Amino acid sequence: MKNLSPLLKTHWPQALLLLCSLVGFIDATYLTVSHYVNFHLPCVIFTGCETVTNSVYSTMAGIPVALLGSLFYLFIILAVISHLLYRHRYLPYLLVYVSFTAFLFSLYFIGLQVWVLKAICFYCVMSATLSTIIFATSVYFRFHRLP
Amino acid sequence: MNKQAATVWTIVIILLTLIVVGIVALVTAPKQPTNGILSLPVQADDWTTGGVNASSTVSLVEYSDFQCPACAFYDPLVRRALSDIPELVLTYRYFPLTQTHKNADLSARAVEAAGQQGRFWEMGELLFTNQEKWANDDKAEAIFSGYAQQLGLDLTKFSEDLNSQATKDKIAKDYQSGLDSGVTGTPSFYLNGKFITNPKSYEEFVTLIKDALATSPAPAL
Repeated sequence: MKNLSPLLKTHWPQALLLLCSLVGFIDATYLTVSHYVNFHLPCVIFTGCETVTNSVYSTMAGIPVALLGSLFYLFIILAVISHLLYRHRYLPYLLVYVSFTAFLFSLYFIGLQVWVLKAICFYCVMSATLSTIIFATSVYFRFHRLP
Repeated sequence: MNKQAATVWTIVIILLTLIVVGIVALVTAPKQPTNGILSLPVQADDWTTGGVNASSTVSLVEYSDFQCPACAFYDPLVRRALSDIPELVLTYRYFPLTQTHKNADLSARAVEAAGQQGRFWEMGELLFTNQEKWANDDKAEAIFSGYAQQLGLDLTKFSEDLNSQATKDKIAKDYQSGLDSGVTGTPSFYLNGKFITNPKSYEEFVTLIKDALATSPAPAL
């Protein structure tokens, strides 16, 4: 553990990106699997997720939005690990572009939930928060020449 | 690729695979906290249909919420099963998820009020078919009155029954029996008193019902 703390001091953006993308991957994969496994997601006592995940906005051209989310988080995980291993010069740029796209999608979906569906899904809000943190961290990572 | 990188990638791939496998196992596991037995058998005042002229019957109790999209999705399947399987006896019990569905309670009361004038199943079907039109509407009560009118109900009596204590008590009783049975979401089905995981297709639904009829038929009505 003693060796970990200086490493975290210098590599905290990568650590934060990895943590957020891992949690996001679990979150989005849960929704993706639910989409494919359940014939229809049942309504449960405390969440409004079924309204959101059963809505017409939950798929884009037949692809569930949750699956796109899973792929986004998977990309971030693989990109950060690649950067840690190989120091690709262009990866930080790519991270910013991809996470900015995900951030815009998140804004759109939160807007849909608040104003159109009038139902908030916890898993979706969590994903939007994580993609926002990932975008902000990517920008920091890109503009600060970190090791 | 050097040895260190190969090790890192192997760990990452194994970890991600384990996550996906774990999630699939979690989602597909049957969700029933208690023993899966219906706490309250079908009562005389329950809303029940089907099984007329059948030599033996099979009972399907559904806990449902008129504002739940999954319940609206299953409703036509249940109706189709009723017409395809003459032995099927369906009992509808209210399980309004008032925490997330703002018109869940009102819609249950509207159907109960229609039931007081003999049009329970017709009103239920209307509400499920038109769910998106009233689900988030602040004036859902006016929409329900419109449906009552469409069904030719006495509107004064409809309004009285909609707000009566007896109606509220009936819904509360159903909700409580659902909680006692371990219901956490809707729709929840009990076949001959035993919880079943929501079928993934109409064919699976029919197979489950026919199996129950073959193995443990209930007496004719």
